[in-house]
Amino acid sequence: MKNIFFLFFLSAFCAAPAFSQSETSPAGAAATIQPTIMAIPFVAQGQSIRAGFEKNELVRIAITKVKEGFDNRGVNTIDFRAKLKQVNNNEVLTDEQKSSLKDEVINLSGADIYVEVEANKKTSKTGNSVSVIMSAFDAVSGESLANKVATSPKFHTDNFEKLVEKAVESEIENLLNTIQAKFDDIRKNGRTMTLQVGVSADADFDMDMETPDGNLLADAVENWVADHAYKGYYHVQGSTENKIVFDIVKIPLKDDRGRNFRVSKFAALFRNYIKDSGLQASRTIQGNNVVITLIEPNK
Amino acid sequence: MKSISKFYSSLLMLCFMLACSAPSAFVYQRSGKVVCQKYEQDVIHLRAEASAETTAKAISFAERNAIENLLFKGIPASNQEKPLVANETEAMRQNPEYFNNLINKEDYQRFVMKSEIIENVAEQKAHFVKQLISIDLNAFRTDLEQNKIVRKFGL
Repeated sequence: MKNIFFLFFLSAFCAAPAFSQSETSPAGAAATIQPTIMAIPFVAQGQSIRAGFEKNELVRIAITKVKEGFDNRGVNTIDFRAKLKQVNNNEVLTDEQKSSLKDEVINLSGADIYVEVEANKKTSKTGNSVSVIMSAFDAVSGESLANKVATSPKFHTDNFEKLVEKAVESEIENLLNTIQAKFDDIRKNGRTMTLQVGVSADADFDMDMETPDGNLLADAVENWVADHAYKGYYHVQGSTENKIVFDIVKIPLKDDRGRNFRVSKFAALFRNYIKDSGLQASRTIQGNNVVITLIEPNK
Repeated sequence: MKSISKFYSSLLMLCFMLACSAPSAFVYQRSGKVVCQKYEQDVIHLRAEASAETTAKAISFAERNAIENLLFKGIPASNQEKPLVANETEAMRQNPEYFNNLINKEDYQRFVMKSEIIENVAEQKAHFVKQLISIDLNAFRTDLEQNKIVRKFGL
């Protein structure tokens, strides 16, 4: 008798549809911050970025194709050639300043991300091809966001421009998707900054000094960072009696009021904490790197 | 007592008949049998395999499998190595109606530019197809963005 019920029960289950997603909840979507991106030529140390762009047709095509790929996805792009001309018009850069031209263009452009593009020909008896290396970086911190190497198929042709197009087309979507995956991670887990807290050379104390609550200064600093890092995520690279180095401190993208949370704000909060502890601090901020130097109040 | 046993006998008979008559051999199941044939910047050409009791149903299974792989798994050695939807479970939970329309009601056909059989083997009870499906990636991604299934490019 039990078997009959079992069969009936089983047949009822077999009839159920395979696709069943009944839970409903509307998709909550926060506004997307659209970064601006600029594709620039890759140049080796000491080489001129202008020469790298103007004398290399393959690179120019590759940059144009990369820019086109971003435009297709509705990304705000900045034209490298226009910015280069703008720097040229300023006429403030001399030949001795060649190495800083890249930084100058990036700073002037206001780009949030820059993509370095390198294109190389490969000739062989079995056909010619082109490889394009694309590396995306955060313009402020210099943090690497994505890298892709695109290689065109081999053809018996000297039309390298077409091969560059083929190579870039094959990987541009993957480059964008990798950058987006990095963005998703930043939104979820916060931005990464580094923090170095040290004592000045002429100070009469060190990081092993005992604080009023009985902790060592280094431990007190670490506790503060643990309390203020986004989701409590940080990593200590090393600690000595003179300094403590955090190679990863996560900070949120936005503050409680929805405004951009800048690295300088984190540094300011830390300085206030140090002041309240009876010490003074000077700070240096470069990109996402913060260096705090602790000094005695009377010095 | 006799009438109760008669009732259960008839019920058993009914279940048996239903089991015999229902063609339950081919139910759609997602598989990894989807490879990239070629790709351009905005179009991807996928080759997918499927079997069913009819050729039409096998084609439908192959197309659905290609779309689901593109959406939730990504296609190796293509311009879409990462899935279009990063978290399938979460996206399905938050947008059941969209995915019901897209997948069960075959709304994905809007993004299929071309679908052609490249191999069709018909046996007595099974039809096996290899299908070449061209998908408009740009339109597909834009639709996902407009329906807030995925975010636009950016932070």
